[in-house]
Parts: sequence; structure tokens; C-alpha cells
Amino acid sequence: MALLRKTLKEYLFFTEPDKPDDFVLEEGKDEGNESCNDAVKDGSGEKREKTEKVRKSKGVIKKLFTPEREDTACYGYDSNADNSEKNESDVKKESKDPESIKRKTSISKDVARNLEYMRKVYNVPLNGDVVIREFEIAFKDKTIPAFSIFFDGLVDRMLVNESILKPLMLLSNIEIKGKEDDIADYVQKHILPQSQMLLEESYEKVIFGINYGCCAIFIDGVDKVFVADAKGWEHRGIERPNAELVIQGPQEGFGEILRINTALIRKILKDEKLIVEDILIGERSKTPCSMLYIKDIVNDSLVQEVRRRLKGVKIDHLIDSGELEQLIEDSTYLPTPQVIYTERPDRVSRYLANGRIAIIVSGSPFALVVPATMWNLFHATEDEYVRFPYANLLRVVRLFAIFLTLLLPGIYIAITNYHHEMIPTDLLLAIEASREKVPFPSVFELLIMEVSFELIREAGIRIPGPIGPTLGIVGALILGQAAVSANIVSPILIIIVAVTGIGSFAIPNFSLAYSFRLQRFAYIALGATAGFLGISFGLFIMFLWIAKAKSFGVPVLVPYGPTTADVNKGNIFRNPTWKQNRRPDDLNVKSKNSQQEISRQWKINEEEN
Amino acid sequence: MKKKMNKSIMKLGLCFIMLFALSGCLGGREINDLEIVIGMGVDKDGSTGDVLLTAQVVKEGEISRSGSSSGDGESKAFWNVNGKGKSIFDAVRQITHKTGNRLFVSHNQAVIFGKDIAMEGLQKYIDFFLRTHEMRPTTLILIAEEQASDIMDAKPETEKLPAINIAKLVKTYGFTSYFYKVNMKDFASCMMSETTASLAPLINVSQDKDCKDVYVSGMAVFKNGKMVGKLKQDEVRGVLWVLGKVKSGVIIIPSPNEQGDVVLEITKAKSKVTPEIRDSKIIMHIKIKEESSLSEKNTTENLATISGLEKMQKVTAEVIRQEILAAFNKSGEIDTDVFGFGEMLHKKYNKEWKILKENWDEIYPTIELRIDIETKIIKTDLLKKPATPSEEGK
Repeated sequence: MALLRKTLKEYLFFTEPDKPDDFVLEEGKDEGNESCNDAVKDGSGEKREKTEKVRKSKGVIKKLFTPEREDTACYGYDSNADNSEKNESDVKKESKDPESIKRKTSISKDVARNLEYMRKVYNVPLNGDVVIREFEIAFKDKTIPAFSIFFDGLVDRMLVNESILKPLMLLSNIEIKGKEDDIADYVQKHILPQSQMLLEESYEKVIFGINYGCCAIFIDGVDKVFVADAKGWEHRGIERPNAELVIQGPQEGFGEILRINTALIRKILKDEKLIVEDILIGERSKTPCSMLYIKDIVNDSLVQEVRRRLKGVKIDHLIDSGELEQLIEDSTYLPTPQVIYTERPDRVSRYLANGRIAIIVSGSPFALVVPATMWNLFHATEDEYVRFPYANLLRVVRLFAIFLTLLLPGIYIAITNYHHEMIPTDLLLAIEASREKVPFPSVFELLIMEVSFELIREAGIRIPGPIGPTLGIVGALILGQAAVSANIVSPILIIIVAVTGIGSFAIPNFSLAYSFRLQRFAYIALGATAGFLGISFGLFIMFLWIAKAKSFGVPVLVPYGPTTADVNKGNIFRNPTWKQNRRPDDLNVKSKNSQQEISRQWKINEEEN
Repeated sequence: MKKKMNKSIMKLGLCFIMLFALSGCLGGREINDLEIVIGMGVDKDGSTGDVLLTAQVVKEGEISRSGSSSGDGESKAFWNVNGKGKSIFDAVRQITHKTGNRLFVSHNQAVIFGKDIAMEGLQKYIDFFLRTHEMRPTTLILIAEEQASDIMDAKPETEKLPAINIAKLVKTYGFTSYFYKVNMKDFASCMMSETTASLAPLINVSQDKDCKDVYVSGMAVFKNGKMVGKLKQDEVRGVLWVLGKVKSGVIIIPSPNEQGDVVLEITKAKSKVTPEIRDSKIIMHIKIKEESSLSEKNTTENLATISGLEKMQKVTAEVIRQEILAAFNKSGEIDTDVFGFGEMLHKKYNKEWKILKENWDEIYPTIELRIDIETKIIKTDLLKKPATPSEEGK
């Protein structure tokens, strides 16, 4: 009761609004850096202040629905060095765990001890896929015991045989004009023909290398380990993207291999300023992630922020980019996605060129692009590839699809229950005639159909391949037809549900389509309880919510939410390509122009001639 | 954290409750619980003096049934329910007990008043239709030549619902301009004027073999809410010329040189009326611009020449003038200002009007009309020369 009174008081009296957000993408490239550096220098006191600020500064709606993640917020300003320090201290705290101490210990010169240790770490022979191969290297006059360790299946066996074991075991006998006495130097310089080979000194790094598909070679008398890259695991090739098909445009999609994915982007951009920054996420899984941006376009403070959030993710295992999206997005409860989720390298490249940041997670064929505005979610890849009038037709169709998916069932319920006078007379008579024998109230009738449609859709995804289309036909045609002839639902309702379903497939962003599918039920409820008033109430709340939301410091509704300089630049309708001179203003990029003011120089030349 | 969440939910809930508390938006009704009224007829019960209301309710089951069952003459898609009461609203509520559901009148297409009601005065009957929130102000208003319920009973051949048929045929007035549609709003605003007479289309049923046809026979003229007379079709067009409401229509003129008729179709008509008081005489300057096309003729003469067209234009102007004069004379006889000349004078001669309006009934017939008609035949449709043997060598 006291709470209610307090709430009422809050409504009736004006209170100073809180500071809106903890991160706002400001203009100017240097400011972001400076403030961040300050935070690092000043250390813990500053940090505590920041935490408090974060606590205070959450806006109303965010406060309502966001669980506070203070940890990430306050660790986030740690610099790289700071972070690793913290890791160490963590490790020290956990000193009861013997493994963690041993990992830090340096590598012994005695190969037998190393072998014993590695056996222990990898639980050999309990672990079936660990291969430990012992051999001897003939060096000058003596033979030196050594062993190699790798995971079967993760490494290319031919590569290990031909260019690691063979040189070490056989070729080391051949007289090579080398003056080195040190075996480590000799092996590195003359024997192992590997492009990527590291000499590691700690067990931790060696173990990480082995886990990631390298072949580690321990040699007696050397307190370093050769970690040779011999990754050769099986993977899917580059295929056509499944979820984002285009008719016109590149047909390549991302795969599961991180390096192939980054290479796909580099292949398109061919820009030495494209930075592929590697970050490991996952305390145990150590999933390699790449953060991509073009250094002289992107706003530095945005890079700082993304890096801060990525480094602030502390989970054990990171499997897919979908998980990462949920860990780094601004608001968990916002009904719309705040990150672009795409499997097309060309699309990622376009966003990178506009000054956004892409995050690729190893093992996931979907890249994340931040920050995302509502309009990015509404654009499709093909928009830029087809001629501009066609693209605009597609966009109008898409807007219409969004309207249908979100509101059509709700509006139908509202009209048929509250606003009978709004329907044209003939249509009203048709609806009434079709509903004549239906025994249920129209809301219930609609829910039956919507739920069974969702069932068909869900089952269609789960069902084994060849039966899928059959289910669609059975579900959609037969079920619908039977439901109508059994007088359970009216034929007009089938049309409504079908159109709604089709509309949801026309939305290019799958995540956005999900969101609308979910919200649709809210609008049905609102329409059924309060008619159009309820629907407009729902829209009002939703727009308030979205207008407040930010994706990595960029308001989601920009350039219309806060109006920016490019308010009329092809967000709803696309401009002709030659007119798209500037990068999105809301990203506060370093170089504003994406092409020359007159991008069609031949037009001028023509006049001169 | 949890407290905050609770608070937010409470806030949302409060907003949602306010939806109902502040707007009073409750009471959704399922669409099949509605008795959709498509037309209403108001008559007077001769013996008791009560209102006899006929509501035409749609039978939804019959609507969806396609033409196959038309052999069964009995099945009608509508149901004319009668109710008696002291007032219209009383009768409406009485009908509820016959239908089982409340009447839903938002889709009412037309309200037909019987002649005896119209003679008595529409003032006290029309109030309900203007006041009730479900009723549209654009509902058509019609006067039956006899009983309104007879007209509601006449089952049309193509349409399933008589009221929709009536609404359709009234809305197509533009093809002849022999009458025009009047809705509740127009009628009420005419009734509120002190001098202007209101008009409403008169509707009648003709018995032809075994099918009944509904047609509009002219327009009823109301003075102070009471029906005082009737304008025939030509006379109505005379009024419409002056008011500038002629949309299209057919003018038949005698062929200038030969025996026979030429039929013109009006394509455009504009009018401008300027009142003038000169030497204590009221003069209405009526300027009409008309354009038409030659659509039919039954003579062999080639009229698509400049001289032929000019002759025809003159004759057309004369025909229009006669129509206007006929309407004016008729309105003079029944002493009703169907043109709204009084309002025009009111606007221009505000001071004089105060004296004029006292004796408007006497003054009205003495108004002098100065009619200036400009006609133009803009095309002769597909034919230039008539389909007769051409004269060799001219």
C-alpha cells in the first residue's frame, strides 16, 4: 500500500529525471580515450564512484526492466593490464586448486617430468583423443628424447606426420650447415618447416595451444615448448547463407571457422586499416572472438566501449554469438533486438565501412554488428544491390509486413468487438455471416488459430527435412480447411492469421520478426480488453520504451528519435546510390564522407567535353 | 532489485487501469451478438397515434448463401421487425424484445418516413436519429409516398437487402439530377434555417406483375418541418441548376432545323447566385455555366458544325431557363424558399434582412430572377457525321 502511494506520488509530482545512460556515444574521437585513460589511472576510488554513477544513472524504463549488472559495469573500465592482474589475483585466491598452481609453473628441462605432467593434465589414458608420441631426435652425435602431444581430429594428421615428425626424426640426421649448439635454436631455424610456430614458456599457454588444435613438441633439455599450428579439423565449407538469401548480390555466407570468416571480410574490404582484434571469451572455453573495425573510420570511444563489454563477459563457456549478443546488449527486456545478427560477409563489410563494429565468435556462422538502430534491422542486404526504385518498393512492402505482423490480429479483435461501425457495411455482414456458427468468442477463436500457427511453425523447424513441406501443407491447408468446415473458426480469421504469418516472414531480421511475433499476443490481449484504445496504449508504451533504448550509446530510433543531420537520408526510403555521400551521423565517425561529393565524375567530364 | 521490478509492474498496471477508469471504454460486443439494422421506416399507427417503427434487420445466415437458393422464394436475407411505441426510442426498445439482441444502428443506410408522419411534421421524430450516438449523420433520409413499411418490404431483384438497394439508387442521383440525396445532417441544417425549405427525396413502389420496384418520384418540400408539397423531377432539376448541384443528366432539346430530338448529356455545371436589392425590388442574378456532350440524336442532319452547335447551345440554354422558372413558379405556389434565397440575402444585406424576414412569405414570389446561361457543347462523342448516306459532291 505504501508502495502504491509512493508510485502515485511519483506520478503527481515532478521529479528531476535521472541522467539517462552510462554510455553515450559522443562526437569527437579523443574525448572517449581521455576519459577512459583517466579512469584507469585514478584506480579504485574513481571506480567506486563510477559504479555509483551507473547505479544512479539508469533511466526509468531501463530501471524497470534491466537487472543491474554492476559487475560488468565496474570492471568494464579496466584496461588490459588491469584485467590480467585481476585474473592473477583470482587465481591466487583459488590456490587450493593444485592444477592452477601447476599451470603457472614453468616448464621443466626434464622431458620425463613434462611427460608425466602432461599425462596428468590430460588424464591420459582416460582421455581417448589425446595423442602422445614419444620419439628421439638425432642431433649432431647424440640422441635427445622428445615427445609431441596433440588432439586427434583437431590437427591435420598429414601435416603432423610430414612436417613435424618426419623432419624431427629423420631429417635431423642430415648434415645441415648450422653452427648452433643449442638444440632449440637449431630445431626452430632448420628443422621444423612451419609458418606458425611459437616457443612457449608456460604450461598455460601450451595447454591452450593444444586445446586449440596445435601440436606441442617437448624436447629434453629445453625449458621451452614448440607449439606448431597444425589445425586441421573438419568443418563446413563456405556455403550460401541460409537465413539471408538474396537474389542479386554475393552468395557467400560465414562458416564456423573464425579465421575463414575474418578472411571473408578482409577479402571484401582489402583495407590495411581494418583491424581484427582478438579477444578470448569464456573462462574455460577460451572461445576466440574477433572484433573488427576500420580504424580511421570508427569512433574510438565506441571501440573502447565494445572492448570493455567484451572483456567484461565472464562466463565459463561461450558457444555461439547468440549468447554473446545477450551478454553484451544494453537492455535484456527491450522487446526489440539491439544488435544486428547476420551471416553475410558483404553485409558486415558494409556496416564496417559505415563505422560500425563487428564481432565474430569462433564456431558461429553469425556475426554481430553494433550499434544497431531500428532501421538497420528493417533493411535487407539486397536493398543496396538492386536499383533504387525497386529497393523502395521492397521497403514499403516490408513496412506493411511489419504493420500486419504486429497489429493485424489485434486490430481485427478490436474492430470486431468494439468498433463495428468502422467496418464497411458489406464487410461487416460478411464477417457476421462467417462467424454465425462459431461457438467461441472471437478472441478465443483467434488465439486457437494463432497458437496452432505457431505450432506448425515450431514443428516445421523441428521436423526432419523431407517431411517438412508436408507438414506445412497438412498444417496450413488441411487444418485450416477442416477448422472452417467444423465451424471452429471463421474463414476470415484464417485469412487474418495467414496474412500475419506471411508478414512475419517478410521481415528481414529474424530476431525482429521473433519480437513482433511475441508482441502480437500482447496486442491481441489489449485489443480484446480495450479496443483501439488498448492498442494505442500498447503502441504508446512500446514507443516510449524503444525511444528510450540505446544500442551501444546510439539511440535505437536515431535519426528520428533524436534528430540528427541525416534525418532524411535513406532510412525508411533509400536514396540513389550516388547520393549516399555521408556515413550515418549518429555513429560520430572520424571521416564523415563515404564517397566524393560528386560520386559520378563522368557526369562532369561529359559536360566539359 | 525486486522492489524496483514490482514498482515498475505496478506503474504499468496503473496505466492500464486508467484506460478503463478515465475513458469508460468497456463493453465489447461480439459481432454475432449484434442485430445489424440496415434501414428503418417510421409510420404512424392510424388508430392509436403511436409510432410504428419498422427496422430492417439482416439475417446473416442468408447473406452468405449464394444465389443457388434463389429458387426458394421464401428465403429473405432480411427481417422487418415492427415495434410500436409512444416515441421512436420507445419503439426501438420494444423491438429488442422481438429480436433478442439490442439493435445496432451504426450501419443504418436510410430512414424512411411515411407520408402521414411527414405531413404532421418531422421535427419531433427526427430528434432521436440525430441524438443517438450510434447513428450516423450521413444516414439518408427519404419520404415514402404512402407507408414506409411497404417500401421496406419490396424485395429487390439483385440486391439482397431492400435498404441497401434504396441507398444505392438514391446515391446514383447524379446520372439524371432529377433529385438528390439528402442525409440527416443536411436535412437538420435546412430545418434550422428560418426561411429555407428542406427537401427530401420521395420514394414510391410500383407494382409490376409480381415484382415490386422502388423508385424516386420527386422530392418532398418541407416548410417548418412539415411537408407542404412535392416537386416533380424536372422541377427538382430547376432547383439544382440554381444550387449548382447538377452533376450530370440528360437534356432533350428539339433539333434546330428538322423534326426530331437531340439528346445532350451534361458533363459540367456551375452556378453563381448574387442577390441584389435595387429600387426596393429583390433581384437574383443567376449565372449558370454548363457544358454538355451530344450523346444521341434521331435526325439525319449533320450537327457537328459550328453553326449547328451554336444553335443547339441556344436551345439548351432555353430549356434550362424553363426548368428553373418552372421550379421557381412551383415554389412560389406553395410559398416555400427551396432555393435558399433568403439565406443569400441574409448574408449580403444583413440590415435589410431583419425587415424582409418578417414578410418573407409575401416577398418571395415577387423576387425577380435574371438568369444568364452559358452553355457549351464540347464534344459529339464518337460520331461526327450521322450514320446516313453521305451527300456526294457536297
